[in-house]
Amino acid sequence: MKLAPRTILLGGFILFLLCCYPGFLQTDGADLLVDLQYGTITDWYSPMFAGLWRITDWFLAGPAGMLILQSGLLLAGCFHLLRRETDERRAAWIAIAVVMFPGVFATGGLVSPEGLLAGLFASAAAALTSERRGVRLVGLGLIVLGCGLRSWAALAALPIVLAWFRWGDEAGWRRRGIAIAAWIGCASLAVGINTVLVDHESQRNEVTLALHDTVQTICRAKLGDEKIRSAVGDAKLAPSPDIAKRACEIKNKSSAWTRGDSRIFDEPKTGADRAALVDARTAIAMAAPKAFLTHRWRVLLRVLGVNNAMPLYADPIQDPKTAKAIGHLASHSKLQSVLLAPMRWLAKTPVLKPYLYAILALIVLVFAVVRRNRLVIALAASGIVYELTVMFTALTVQRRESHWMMAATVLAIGLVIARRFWPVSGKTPS
Amino acid sequence: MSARTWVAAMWRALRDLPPRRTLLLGFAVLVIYGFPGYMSTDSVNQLIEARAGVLSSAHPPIMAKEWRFLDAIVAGPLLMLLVQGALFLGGLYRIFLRFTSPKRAAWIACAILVFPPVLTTMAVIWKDSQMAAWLVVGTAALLDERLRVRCLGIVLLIVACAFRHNAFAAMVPLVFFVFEWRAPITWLRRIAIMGGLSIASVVLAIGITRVLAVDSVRLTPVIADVSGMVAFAEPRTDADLREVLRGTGVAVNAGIQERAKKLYKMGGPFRLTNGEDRLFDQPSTEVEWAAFGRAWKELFFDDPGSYFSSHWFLYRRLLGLGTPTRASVWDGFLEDGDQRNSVSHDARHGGMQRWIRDLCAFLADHTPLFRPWIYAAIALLLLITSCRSRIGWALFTSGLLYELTFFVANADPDYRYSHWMITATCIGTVIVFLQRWKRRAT
Repeated sequence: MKLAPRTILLGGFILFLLCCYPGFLQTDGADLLVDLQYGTITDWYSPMFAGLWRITDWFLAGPAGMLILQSGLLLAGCFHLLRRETDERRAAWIAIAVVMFPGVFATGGLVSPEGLLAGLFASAAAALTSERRGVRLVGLGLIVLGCGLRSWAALAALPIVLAWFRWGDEAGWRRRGIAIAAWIGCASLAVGINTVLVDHESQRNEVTLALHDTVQTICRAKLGDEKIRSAVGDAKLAPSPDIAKRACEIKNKSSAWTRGDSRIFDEPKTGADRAALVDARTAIAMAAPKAFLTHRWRVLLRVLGVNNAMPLYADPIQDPKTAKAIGHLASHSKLQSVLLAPMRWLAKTPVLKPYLYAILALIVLVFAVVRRNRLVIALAASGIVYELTVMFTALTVQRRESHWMMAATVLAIGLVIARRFWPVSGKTPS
Repeated sequence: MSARTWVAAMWRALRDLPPRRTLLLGFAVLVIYGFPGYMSTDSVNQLIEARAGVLSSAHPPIMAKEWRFLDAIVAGPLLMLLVQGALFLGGLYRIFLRFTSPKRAAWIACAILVFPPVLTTMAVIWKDSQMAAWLVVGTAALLDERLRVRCLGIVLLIVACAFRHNAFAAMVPLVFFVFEWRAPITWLRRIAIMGGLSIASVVLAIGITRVLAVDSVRLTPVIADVSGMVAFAEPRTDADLREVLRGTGVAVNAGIQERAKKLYKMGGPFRLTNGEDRLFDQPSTEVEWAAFGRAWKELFFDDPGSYFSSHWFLYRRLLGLGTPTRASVWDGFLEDGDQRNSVSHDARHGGMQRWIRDLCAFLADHTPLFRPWIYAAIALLLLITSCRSRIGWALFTSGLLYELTFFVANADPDYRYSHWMITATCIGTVIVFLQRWKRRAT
């Protein structure tokens, strides 16, 4: 019996939802659920994500609506991209395989900006390849939403927009010029929307990243007090001497960076203090570029899971004690536990480690360049660029940081396989 | 695009919607309104029983079994909501398909599902909503042209019967008027089949409960009846009442009749045997239960009027005569915060959910839409005026008979108890209208 593509997709989607319903939550998700109840949006987490969650929450309260949106977008995007390379039934099967592939599935069930970003970028890529201008503009809209989900995510959108966006029938440099202009517009719009959405600005993430990088770089570079004081400018350094020594003592204790006798900086209290700290990060990085890059490289290695374990996202809620505050509590069904068991086992193997996908992305990129497969080049490049932005922006060491790179790589491999083994004659080569 | 053109375009789009999409639209309204499924303490207790696998007869064990199976797939009430909604909507569609075109059938089915007096109960995980869903799908199967599907309809109705002790009253008229073994069937044969099937169905439904229940709970209105008859009797002295109520464990030293009046009018049978103000201690031995039985007989034969007065007192509240019925718009995901950890589940309202709920609550508070007596009156009226509609008769009788059983059951005046009568009246009314319209057209 031959199943219709729609039936295959629906079946796969239901299977995915059975595994992940109502969506796994980490602390940020729980915090956002509280914010949703109070109707406020802060800059602690992506304002764009909070804004979109507010919309899905209006229809289906809690994480389920967002889970359906992010996984639905990813599945739809994968299917429409694969449909370009092979027949619809195979495209549906491969799309399901991509979404359910352990590396993608591992973060796909987590209700997070990273999960939504993968869905938005995949569906945006599909929309941008359309022959209809209206659909391509919808693709740009999805790019705007995706760019607003993470800092510097716009860079990951560049290969996709540059490879596919066109206004009319133009070609060559003219098309690329329009694509770059569209990309700049999308990135600017995303920044603007994020700024407008925020009700309460705290710059928490920027300040934490600045403190983290500054302390680590100072320690690693063993900079002298004078040089540090002259580099940090207006940032309020603690008066105690031996800054580099103290930085090494407290480099892994984030609470001590601005508090206690060993602190490096005084607690930033005003917007100017926070801005000064953010500037200090740049200044210190410029003063000791090698130490800064080494530090960030080590962060990237940890994000890629080279030498460290990475837990699986499989808890419906991280701390059940917060259930009352967030108005949501869920537990695993028996079937869900059975379905997640292989994932728990795989989490102990390199199959779920991002570095594996980073290597594959590089291989696929080279392969696609040789074969001049524009779609695969765009996806692989997007994933790699995204991971490079993570190198400079990651605050936490989690698999979710690499989700788009992993998803883009698996999707790109799916496209290569589809074209290699089940090409459809008469299809427009990408 | 002007507003008029836009409205016209929308209207065209809706009119041309294929039946399947129309049904999806209606189903989406139910899911959005009820997501992930409202629950009361009854529902929570059933979920706990379902998970523990220790089923009591206090709630329908078949529902706990069903929930146990669905909970193993997706934990919580969501799948129950989806199953009852899908059965109900699918059943409605199949019923109306017998009388009109697929497009109209889909729209009518959706209209009945989202009709607030029907919707508010269908969104809650109760035996009442499950029973309604199985009854509707069973009726749809009874109307099928294939004998095996009609026989399956009987099975579905038996399942519906297992969801409530008094569901047989809803089922018997459906089987009697709708079921056909081989058409045309004589009335004598029909009566014989109906009698046989009804008895078999009731026995089977009771059998299902007996087989599935591990822990048997005594379900009887005797305590409420005795309290009601004491409350509504002519003034009697404490000594006199003590004599009648001997052996029942009266927990009041003085003013028995006054206490009975107070508790009975407050409602909630649990108050009669629980709390400091209780009237009786909870009977635990066969002797105490026998004492209640004896007291019931003595009180009834001494003053039958008090029995009917006390039952009418609750029944008129159930019908919404004078006062609105209780909990007509149930919107709780859990009745008590402590239940959160017992079932590892909690949810809150979404914006659209709140909006629909507020609309329903407004209709319940400010209009007679949620008053069951109106539907009873419509059903009675149409029962008289539409003798030629067999399915109409079946549905009206089913709803009315089911509603009447609550007079005997002396149940609390919960709105959900009237849900089947309201649903059956709505379906029956539409069918009668469609049949008349068709006749007039031809």
